[in-house]
Amino acid sequence: MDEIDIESALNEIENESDDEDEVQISLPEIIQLMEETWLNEKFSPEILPNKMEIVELLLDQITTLETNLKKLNNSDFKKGLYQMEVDRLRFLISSYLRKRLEKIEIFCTAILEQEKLRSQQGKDNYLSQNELQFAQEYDQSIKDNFESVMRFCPGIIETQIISPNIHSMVFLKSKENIDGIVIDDGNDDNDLIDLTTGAQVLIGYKSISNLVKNGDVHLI
Amino acid sequence: MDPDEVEFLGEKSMIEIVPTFNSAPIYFIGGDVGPFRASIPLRVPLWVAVHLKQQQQCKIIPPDWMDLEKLENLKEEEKSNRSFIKMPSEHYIVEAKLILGCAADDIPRTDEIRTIIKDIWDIRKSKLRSSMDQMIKKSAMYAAVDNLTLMEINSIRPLLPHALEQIYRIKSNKRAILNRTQGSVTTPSNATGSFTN
Amino acid sequence: MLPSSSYQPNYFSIEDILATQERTPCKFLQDVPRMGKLNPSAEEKDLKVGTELELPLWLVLDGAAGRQLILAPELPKIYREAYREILKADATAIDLHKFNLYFYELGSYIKHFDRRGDVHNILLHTFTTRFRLIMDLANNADSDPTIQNKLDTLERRLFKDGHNARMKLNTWLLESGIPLKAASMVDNHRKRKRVNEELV
Repeated sequence: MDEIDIESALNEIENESDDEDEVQISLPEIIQLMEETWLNEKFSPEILPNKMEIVELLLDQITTLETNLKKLNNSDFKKGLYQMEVDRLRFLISSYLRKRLEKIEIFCTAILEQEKLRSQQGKDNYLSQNELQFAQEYDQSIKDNFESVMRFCPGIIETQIISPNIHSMVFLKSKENIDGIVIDDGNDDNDLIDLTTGAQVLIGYKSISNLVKNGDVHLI
Repeated sequence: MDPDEVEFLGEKSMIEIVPTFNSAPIYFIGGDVGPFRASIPLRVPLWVAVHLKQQQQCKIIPPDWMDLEKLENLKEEEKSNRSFIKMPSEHYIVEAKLILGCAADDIPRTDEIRTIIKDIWDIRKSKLRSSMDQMIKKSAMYAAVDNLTLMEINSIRPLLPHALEQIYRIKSNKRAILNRTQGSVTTPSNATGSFTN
Repeated sequence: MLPSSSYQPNYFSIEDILATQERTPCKFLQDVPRMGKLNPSAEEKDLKVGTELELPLWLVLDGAAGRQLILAPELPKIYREAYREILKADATAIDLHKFNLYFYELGSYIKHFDRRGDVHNILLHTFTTRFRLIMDLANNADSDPTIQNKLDTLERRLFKDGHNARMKLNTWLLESGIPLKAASMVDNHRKRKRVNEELV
């Protein structure tokens, strides 16, 4: 009986997500996407557009499942397994969110500037509402601190901005056939490469940052 | 990345088990598993298999490739090939660790299998070392790593990418100075490498 | 800087501050009033044109920039031809730590004073040649720890990051019960040699 509850809850969510998008994405595919999103954020030097819709969706699932778990008899061997899956997903999500917070703390000023620019150009923000608020508060507290401690050299924190190294080398796996990626080797004469679906390469992040963002490749 | 995180990703591999119990399916968020019928084999994620095995609720059927004869052939092929050959599983080393770790009683000649997998791992590791050295010597800013498994890729991180990033810094700095002083410089254009060919 | 990323200097980086603190020889191209105290061997109030001094790099960089050059920087001796020849002969045998703690970082500034690009080339040559040394050191838990002392700061950082990752992987492999016996390691060592030769 309890399993039926869980099952119907799953189906409900699946239907919900169908309404929004023409493309039907199953829950296993969403978990796969969450894993890729986690790896992308882990290995990309800069902060990526947030994927909070996936996080929210999975968190909803987890909450529903955990509510139903309470009804399950403790002696049922399935309870431990359900709990394990919940723990695995929670790990994925919290590791992802933490990695983003880490980047926000380190590149705070640079990220906020880019967000401002994106807003002015009418583009989507990379940070979620909560992250944006965190970033602004964090930025303010750093500035306040510098102002009180470093009064003798004002403006340092505004002018000396720490930016991520977009020339970082990353490993990726291609999800599409892609032609004409420019290899950035630090000199002017740059070679081109083509990728076939499933290809794995080591390459400078700058050459492929757009492909990570549009989902044609994912970092590994 | 921590090796445990690579293991975490590898634990999603599907593997065949023979349960010793009957049960309705489990409706995981990641997909349904089951139903379980005693003595009827079925495929489950590796992490589920390990858990059930630890509770002595199933027998694990080793993946096809986890066979002494096949592994011998694989080892010979890996040895005689200059480049990396394609592994039968994307997560062979993770699967070996987890399956041999909990189900030694289900798999014949586990010690020999362990040794030969380690041999294959070591042969590939030494190829990796020379590939890395070649890449750095050429200052190559690109390499195909098609047949490397995730744990192998992770084993050259952060050393290889970090070393290349430093080379990039040294190289790109040159451009900045010369732009300021005079014309351009000629540099070797074959700045690509490959781990597969 | 992300803890997982490699060294990248920024305004707040201690390494960068220390590297730019290194003494750099230079020659004054004009008189500088009231700066005589920079020259400890003279008692005049003003610094005379033609004076040769060793000053911190950050000061030299400033004096060598702009429209009116105050001083002409020179290469510190470790980047001059005699030392470059030693590095070209066998960079792996060198105690780079003794050359300078910030051999590459200092070099990255210094090479701007060398229009022929020799310093640039020797930095690249030294780094790419010594990489194998760092890799072997990072992979080998029980190698001679004194070799570490021959690395410059940038190399040592690479070594440390590589070594930490290696130790984590070794622990993971040990847990797996996949054997790391001494006998098999000797075996593998021989194989490794053979594979290397094939690849060259």
